[in-house]
Amino acid sequence: MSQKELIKTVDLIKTYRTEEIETLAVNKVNFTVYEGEFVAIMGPSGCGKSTLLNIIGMIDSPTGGEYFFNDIEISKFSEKQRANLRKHNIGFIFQSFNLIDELTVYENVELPLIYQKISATERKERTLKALDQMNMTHRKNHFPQQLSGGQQQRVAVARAIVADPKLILADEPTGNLDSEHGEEVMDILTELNDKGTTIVMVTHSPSFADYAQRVVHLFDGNIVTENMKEKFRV
Amino acid sequence: MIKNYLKIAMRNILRYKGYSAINLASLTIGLVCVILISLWIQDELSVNKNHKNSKNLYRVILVDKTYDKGKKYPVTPPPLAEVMKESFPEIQKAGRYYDGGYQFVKSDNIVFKEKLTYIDEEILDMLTFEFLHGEKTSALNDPSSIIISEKIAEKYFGNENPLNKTLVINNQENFKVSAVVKDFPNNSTFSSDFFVLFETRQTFSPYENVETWINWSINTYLMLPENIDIKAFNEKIRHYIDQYYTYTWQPTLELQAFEDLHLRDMNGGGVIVYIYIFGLIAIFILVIACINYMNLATARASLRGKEIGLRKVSGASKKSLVVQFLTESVFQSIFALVIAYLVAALMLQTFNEISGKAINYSVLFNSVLVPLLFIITLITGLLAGSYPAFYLSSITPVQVIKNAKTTGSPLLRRILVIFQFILSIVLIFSTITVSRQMKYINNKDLGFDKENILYCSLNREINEKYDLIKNELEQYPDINSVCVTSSHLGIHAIGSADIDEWTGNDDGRKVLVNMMTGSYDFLKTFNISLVAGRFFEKKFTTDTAAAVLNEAAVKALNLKDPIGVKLFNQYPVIGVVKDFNFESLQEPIEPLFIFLDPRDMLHMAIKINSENPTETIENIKTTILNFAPNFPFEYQFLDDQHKSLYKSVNQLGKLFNSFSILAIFISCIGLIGLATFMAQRRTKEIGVRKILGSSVRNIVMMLSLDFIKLVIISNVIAWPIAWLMMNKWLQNFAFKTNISWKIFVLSGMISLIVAMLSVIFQALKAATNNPIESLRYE
Repeated sequence: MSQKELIKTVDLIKTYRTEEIETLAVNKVNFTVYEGEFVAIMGPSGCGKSTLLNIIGMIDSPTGGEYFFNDIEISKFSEKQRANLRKHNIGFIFQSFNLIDELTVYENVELPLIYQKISATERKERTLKALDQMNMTHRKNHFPQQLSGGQQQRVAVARAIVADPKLILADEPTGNLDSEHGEEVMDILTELNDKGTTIVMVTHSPSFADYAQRVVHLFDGNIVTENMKEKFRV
Repeated sequence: MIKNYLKIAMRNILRYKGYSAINLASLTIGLVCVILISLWIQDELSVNKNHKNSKNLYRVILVDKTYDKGKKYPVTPPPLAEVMKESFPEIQKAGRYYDGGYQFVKSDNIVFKEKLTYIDEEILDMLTFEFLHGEKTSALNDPSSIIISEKIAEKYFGNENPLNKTLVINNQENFKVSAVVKDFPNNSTFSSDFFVLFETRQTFSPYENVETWINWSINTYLMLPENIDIKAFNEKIRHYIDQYYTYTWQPTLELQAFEDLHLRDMNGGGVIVYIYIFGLIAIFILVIACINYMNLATARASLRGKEIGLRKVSGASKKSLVVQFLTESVFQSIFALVIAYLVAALMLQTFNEISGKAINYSVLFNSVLVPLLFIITLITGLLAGSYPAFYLSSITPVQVIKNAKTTGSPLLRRILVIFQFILSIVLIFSTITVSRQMKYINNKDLGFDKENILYCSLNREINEKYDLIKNELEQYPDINSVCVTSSHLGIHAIGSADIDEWTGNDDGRKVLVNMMTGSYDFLKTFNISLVAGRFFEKKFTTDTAAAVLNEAAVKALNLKDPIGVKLFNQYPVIGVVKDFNFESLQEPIEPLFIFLDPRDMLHMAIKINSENPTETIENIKTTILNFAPNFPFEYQFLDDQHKSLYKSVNQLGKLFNSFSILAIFISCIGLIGLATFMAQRRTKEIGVRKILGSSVRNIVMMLSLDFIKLVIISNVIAWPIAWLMMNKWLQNFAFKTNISWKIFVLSGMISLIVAMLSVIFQALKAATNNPIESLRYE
């Protein structure tokens, strides 16, 4: 395992303000992920795991503290700067897949490459490769609604990996799947991690958390425990 | 059950305030337009309806087929009425009606200029006069009798009994008030306040032989039985005139229904065209409002899916759901009608100002309009609710449980939006064209100066001392020039005649020329250019029997060297003036024959400096009253007369533009609603795209592009339709603006900008949302 820090947060804070109350979703979190790591974040509902993941994924910005991505401090980045960094480095997998219903499987997977302004020939090649990796090539002309949950999540994974990101963030990727399909997704993630992709995953399931090398427990916006696995999975 | 439906309808209105506001606003604005347009149409249709016999009355018109395809005029010779009645037993009554123009009417020391009408006694039985004083049977049995209107009775005699009072006309003839009749309605085309026997006309026109067959200037009305076959009767009278009128020019006769007098121009067009246009706009506006309702209702179907599913599970039939949704839409329409009535009542004053009408509040609640609007509202409600009702009621409970898409067909919604946009673009295109035409008419160079020209009618005293008056007036430094003429320039000539005898006309050709008189200094006063020869000059005494032509006449007569050519075998041409619009811009510039005959001079035209008009007018008044003390001094500026000539065209134009803008506005609010919905429906997609790296600009473009495509398609379809419509409308004008490519581009741009403005705010809002917010809904 390389010791280079890919993600590092220092006293990271995120508060939500409504008309009457202020909620502290992430409370001075100091959290580091090294390149090539597979980290699982666990905790009860509302403990701030998804918020932390969103900040790490640069789709939300922190209220306070610092966030280093690849040694660059980005907490003060504008939306445009974050979007630019995000699209080249991070792939997302969501619990509810978040595929665009109007686009076909192929078009959904191709989308991140379009935003990276990659040429059509290369896009085609990479999209087909990602679909092939997920065994979804035969379904490339289908629309999301014509697929089962497991298949939809495989498409979502294909979309997450198509741009070859350094980091994959998975927010409860198995939450909407039965155990068989859930395990299938976890195997894919493990396989990606084995090939060098850093993975940060939020999950409720201890058994799926077991696939990770390190499990971080969050409670009320704080990291309460951090378990490093003694034995890495092969 | 209905109570339950209404309750749900009310709750839905309150729960989804934004959508309800859009629906209500568009239905309300739509219905306000329909109410106002209905008032306008009703007012136009009511013209002359006060005459009880209107269905059986006809006007005899002249059809002159000498030139081209023939032109119709409402004039006949005076002896026609009587001989026709003798020849055709079908004719129940026949009478002559002649608008004698303005005359000076005096009683004691009050003198006013009033419109005098000469009629036959039978006219009193044909048109409906309500006698307030005096009897119909004795009202016109004496040539010195005069019938006056109620308002005139009050104006001249106050509270005194007007019967048998004396009125002196033109300081010349005494008349005794024999009857007082109720005023005709404001919008009546028979607007006279004084009626005298036709025979007295000769007294006022000593130079003219009134009763001849060649005097084509009288309106002849006939009353025929209800069941008469007008087509057959027209055939019978077509060549009736031949036996009495034996000139080379062979006119034919035809009947025009009394009810068409105001609505249809004999030569095509008329108010009816505008009734159709405004009726069409009303339909356009309602359709646009209905489309808004349909689009928003089906778009929101997903929100109501659960309710529908549960109702079905609880045993609701499709039919009961259809009834429920139709009840809702009808309920909203009726609600909108109530608000629309209030708004229309508040706007009535402004509407009257724009349209030049005098409609009062009571008309809003008359027995025709209220039920008509109620029916229109019901139809609107049913139409608007029809598609959503049938669509929503077909949603199955399974669809709802599976959370399947229940937002209606996007294709149909697109078609509806395109249709709505086609209507809007046609209206935008038409609005631009109408505005351009109005501007063109108002600013067109007429070929003469109409500004700072003061007109006053000639009377006996001015006629006698004209030279002295002219001389004295021209002493004032602010008076540039004075002349007399027969005509209000730019409004009309005084008549027309065929020229068939001129030097060089070997093949017996005939040319119809318009006639006009103009004294010395006519050209100077109106700043008309001379292109050849000279104008009438005092030093040439023979000029009283000479002619000046316009360029159009020279061309029509095919004269290579016009100066010296003799017309009618007696009038040598002494000059040619540059063409000018002596008639309204609805007529092309026709051949004109200007002559110098004191008997046909009707007005004095005075060109003044614009610096100090009040003082100048005061000087003119003093001078004229000095020479003509027995007639009141009244004047009018020529450009004011021009304004009133084009007033109705300008009013109709403004009205058209106002309704068009409202229609476009309704389209916009519908589009805003639809854009909001589309943005909401695509929230997840927008979030995903943003997470995957899409910029705000990309998202805005993506959301707007959908609408832009629809607008472009709509433009392509709307342009030819709008072009055809406007081309047809412009045919009513001899002088018209062209429909240039700029109008196409402009209407396209406006429709795009309007659509973009409606959509972009929602698109921006959706695109700048935090993607997490977008995905949180999932």
